[in-house]
Amino acid sequence: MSAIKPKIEELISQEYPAGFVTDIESDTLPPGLNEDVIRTISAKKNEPHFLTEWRLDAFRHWQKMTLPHWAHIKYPAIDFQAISYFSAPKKQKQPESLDDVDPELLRTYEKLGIPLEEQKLLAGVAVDAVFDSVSVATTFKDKLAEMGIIFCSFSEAVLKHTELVQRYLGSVVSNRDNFYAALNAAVFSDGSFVYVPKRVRCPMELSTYFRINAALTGQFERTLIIAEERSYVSYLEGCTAPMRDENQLHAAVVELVALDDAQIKYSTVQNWYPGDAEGRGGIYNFVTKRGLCKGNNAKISWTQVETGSAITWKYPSCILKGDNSVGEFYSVALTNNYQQADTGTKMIHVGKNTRSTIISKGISAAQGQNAYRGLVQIHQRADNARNYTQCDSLLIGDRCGAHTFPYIEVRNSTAKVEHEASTSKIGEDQLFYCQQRGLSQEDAVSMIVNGFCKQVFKELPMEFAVEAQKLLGVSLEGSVG
Amino acid sequence: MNAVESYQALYWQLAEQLPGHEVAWVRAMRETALQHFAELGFPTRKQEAWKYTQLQALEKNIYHPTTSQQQFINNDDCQQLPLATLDAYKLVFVDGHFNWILSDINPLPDGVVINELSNILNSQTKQQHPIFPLTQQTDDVLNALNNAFITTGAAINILADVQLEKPIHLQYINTIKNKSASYSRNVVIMEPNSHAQLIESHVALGEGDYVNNVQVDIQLETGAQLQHYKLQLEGQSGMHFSETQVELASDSHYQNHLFAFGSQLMRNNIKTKLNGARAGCLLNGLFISQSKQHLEMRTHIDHHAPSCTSRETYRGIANDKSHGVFDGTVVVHPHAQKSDARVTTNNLLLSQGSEIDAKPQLEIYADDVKCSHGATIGQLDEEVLYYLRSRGIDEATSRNLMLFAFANHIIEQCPMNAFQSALHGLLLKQLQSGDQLQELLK
Amino acid sequence: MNQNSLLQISNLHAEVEGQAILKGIDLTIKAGEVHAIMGPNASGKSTLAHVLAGRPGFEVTQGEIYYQGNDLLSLTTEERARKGLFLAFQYPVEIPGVSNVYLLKAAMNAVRKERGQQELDAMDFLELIRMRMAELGISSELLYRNVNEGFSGGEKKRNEILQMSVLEPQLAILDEIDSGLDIDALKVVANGVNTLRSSERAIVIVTHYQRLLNYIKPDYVHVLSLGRIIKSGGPELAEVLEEKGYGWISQVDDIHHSSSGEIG
Repeated sequence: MSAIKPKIEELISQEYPAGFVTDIESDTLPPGLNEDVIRTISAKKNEPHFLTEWRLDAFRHWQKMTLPHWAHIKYPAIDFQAISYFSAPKKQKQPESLDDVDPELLRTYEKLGIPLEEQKLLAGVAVDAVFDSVSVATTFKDKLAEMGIIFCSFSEAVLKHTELVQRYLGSVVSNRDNFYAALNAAVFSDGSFVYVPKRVRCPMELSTYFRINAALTGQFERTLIIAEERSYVSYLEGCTAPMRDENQLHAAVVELVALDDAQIKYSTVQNWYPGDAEGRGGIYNFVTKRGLCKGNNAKISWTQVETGSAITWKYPSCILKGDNSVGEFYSVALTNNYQQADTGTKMIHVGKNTRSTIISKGISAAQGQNAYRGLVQIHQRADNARNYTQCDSLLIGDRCGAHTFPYIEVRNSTAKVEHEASTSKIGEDQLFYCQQRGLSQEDAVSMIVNGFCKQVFKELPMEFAVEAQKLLGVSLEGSVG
Repeated sequence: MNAVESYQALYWQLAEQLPGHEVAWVRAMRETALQHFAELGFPTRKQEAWKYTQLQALEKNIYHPTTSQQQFINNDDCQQLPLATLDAYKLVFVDGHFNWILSDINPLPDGVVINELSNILNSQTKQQHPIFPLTQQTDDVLNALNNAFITTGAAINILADVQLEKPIHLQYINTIKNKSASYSRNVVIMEPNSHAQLIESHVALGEGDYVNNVQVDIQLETGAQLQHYKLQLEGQSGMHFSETQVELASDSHYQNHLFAFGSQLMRNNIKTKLNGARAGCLLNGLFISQSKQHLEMRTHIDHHAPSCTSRETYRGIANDKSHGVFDGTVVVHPHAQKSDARVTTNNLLLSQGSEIDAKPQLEIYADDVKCSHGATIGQLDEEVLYYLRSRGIDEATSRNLMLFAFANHIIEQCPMNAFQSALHGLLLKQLQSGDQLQELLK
Repeated sequence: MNQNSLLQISNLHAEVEGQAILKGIDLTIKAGEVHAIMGPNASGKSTLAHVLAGRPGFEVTQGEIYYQGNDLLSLTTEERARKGLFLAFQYPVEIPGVSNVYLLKAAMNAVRKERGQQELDAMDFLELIRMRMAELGISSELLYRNVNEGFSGGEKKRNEILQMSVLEPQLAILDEIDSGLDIDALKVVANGVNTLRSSERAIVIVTHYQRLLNYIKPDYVHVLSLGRIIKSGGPELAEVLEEKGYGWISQVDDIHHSSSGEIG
């Protein structure tokens, strides 16, 4: 068979260690999932009793759940008992130096113009003191703390801000929400926690970039962001270079809570390993992201650029509960080679005068399958609700697929909902024009695709937008000719 | 006994009275369908295709297939019904049974062959009617029930190059009083380069609680053209379940114009397969729902061959506590290059408590395509309303005029003038105080 | 109140979406007069026009309007239209599916009914419309097209004048009827308006530019700024405005405000 074994197979082939290890000092649990494993995870993290119980409740419910099959994706069955649910990142096999790293990956970093030290970090090379992400993070943390903003790892929040965690954890995505969210609730390893107090405008973009070590634990990441009345926060997730990752299955959960007049802007650039050109390997990314506009005039805005992963299954959603609240979803999803994406959003209008906008751009190349799936639901009491949706798909090559699955449900006679979708192939005349002006075919494609995505890129924070554009070019390599 | 078992028992009880009961292949077909029905069972809302339709009524009450026409109706009654006076070759079915006295198909021109279905089912001589696709299985529980209990329908064959000038009108009249069901199936074969118009109308005399389950299979051979018009004006307590399956060979063209105003529950399915190059279809529809009606229009178009075109426009107006659904899928299969598909649905919610759901879906596996869909759900444009009022037209009339214009967009796309004007009249009846408009529109 | 006046506006305050736009307008118009209301952008000119026509969402918070001796504000939009108040829209609305001829017929029947006149029969109606269309240089093909749908800017404006000439209003308000018109179209429109001038009828021209007033001579000119009439005069006022621009007015405006402040 192939030279590169799928990761799950590798996990299955691991030898089962003798006996069940409960040693709290140990960094890795053997594969398998049962209540003892969950108790152990919770104990290792010194979690309070409520959280242990919450995890167990999720697990018990998860056992009764079945894998969702409605998405337009195909993948082999996952053996959840073959996965190890606690594995400290530093014990993972790491390359000694850049010489050990896949040269293909390094070439990409060069194209993106990433400094050498960062390259090491991204590739998972043990980092020396030169680039100290911890100290960088600490510097910012002090500054934020002065304003009352809490920005720390989820584990730290559980211990230091227990009351906040207890109040909001699971308040948007319950521990029984769906198969992968329940699994996450049972076994989540770590993640980020953000709390912005009343009337505070967070002065900088908060980013997991500065906690890159924590991000490496990201198999079952959990993020919780709370924006108090009249506060504002912009959060960036991910990194703009292909990250080396040992985990095949990712099942993250993100919960956002915006109170009266608060605003949360959440931007993601997801570029996990997509698998090779033959479709071997790659990350399965099953993510539940949801924001609750709990207060009046609250606003939650999701922007995502999804170019990585073998499978992407995510629907960053907004529950517009507060009157006059606003939800936004801007998305670029690119599938090349054998990548599959089923992504979109849900806009649930509950409050009066709520408004939502959905702009989705899907690009399919080679054998890639790209689906937009979205729900716009206007509840009976949501007077004067408004939604505008635009989904465009671009096809590059005749073996890929582009699909649009909108669900529009309107139960209020003062609501206005508008949906537009189009699918077309990349314009041959545009390509020819660019090439006639001296651009290579690859550059021409990249330029046209970037133009196609412009509406979404302009929603990204500046420095992110530039890198996202470059990234799109890299991800499209080999898609034409 | 659960509902599925009850319908099974009903079959065995009635088997000897159904047409073709002495013919082996017919019995086999029915029993296979019954078996399939049992396997499928009644759907739940968790099933994607049944997200919005509820079939509980069929489970709560067991609807007996009618074994004969329920009430006598004479020609005068029949003439009063909508579209009855259109000049057409008319086949009349009452309560799931062909009524030859009310029908009028003589003389049929050369090149047109029409058979009544129970004759085909009863004919011992033929192993299987050559044009009969009845044995096809679908995963639709209503289709399976139809196959098991089928009693009547028309089998129409238009021979090559025949251009039929008068339309063929299949008139379905339901006089059923209570808890009965009629099952019919029509087959239309259009041979190469033939042209025809088909009208299907469903009306009720009386206010019975009944099920009308109608299947239509249409096959268009190379270059054939069919315009298919359908009026659904079932009684207020009636249920209308329909599936129309169309297969198109190269250069053929199919049009379907659906007007749905009646029934408490309608599920109207149209499945179109564009199998040959340059084939095309136009599917249009209009529903106006009141009280607690649930009207669901479903379409599925498969682009299997290159250079095919499909156009769909569905409009809906929901009043009171009614519920309208549009669920339309277009699939462009690999190699169906140069496919051109456009789906549009526009809907108006006129009162609090009404609901509209729209699911326009595209699945595309070829790259050189032009596909798009658009959906709107909203109200009458306030700007337009103000403009009309500022010209002295009162608010109620202004609204009516706008509703008329909104609905007329679908009517005016019907190429048959006589059908158009009949529909204008029916539309005005659907609008509150639409008679005021009538004056204006003269 | 003045018995001779056709329209009398006193201390009119109005707001749109909670924002005060008109802040105390006083204006009296008699039959036979032509008034021009001028002013810079956002001065409230169009708001005044729409308040008179009864646009939903334009809320009168203070003041009174009498039209033909009756309380205008108690009438619905269509009642005002039937009593002869006509507004030519700056942006005529497109109405999909409703043909021009339907609209004209429906509007005319409504107005004639109010006046106790018989409905015109189809032949007379068409004859009248065709005649008016010819006068205004409108292609008769537009009659069967949907209202304003796909019309050019000039066609839309001419269509407004056509409706006006057919409906024969008592008070015609023309909201920026000159915007977007070339000189030839402007002359046609002005000519259409001039033929309607009569001793029984009043015309209010709302405009930003003086240009139109070269072709339709007003009897009075009013300058509107920030929701108030800050200056009124004869036709010569328009010429001064043309020469000096609205900047000149804002100085007058300051003086006006400070002086009224002292009195107030």
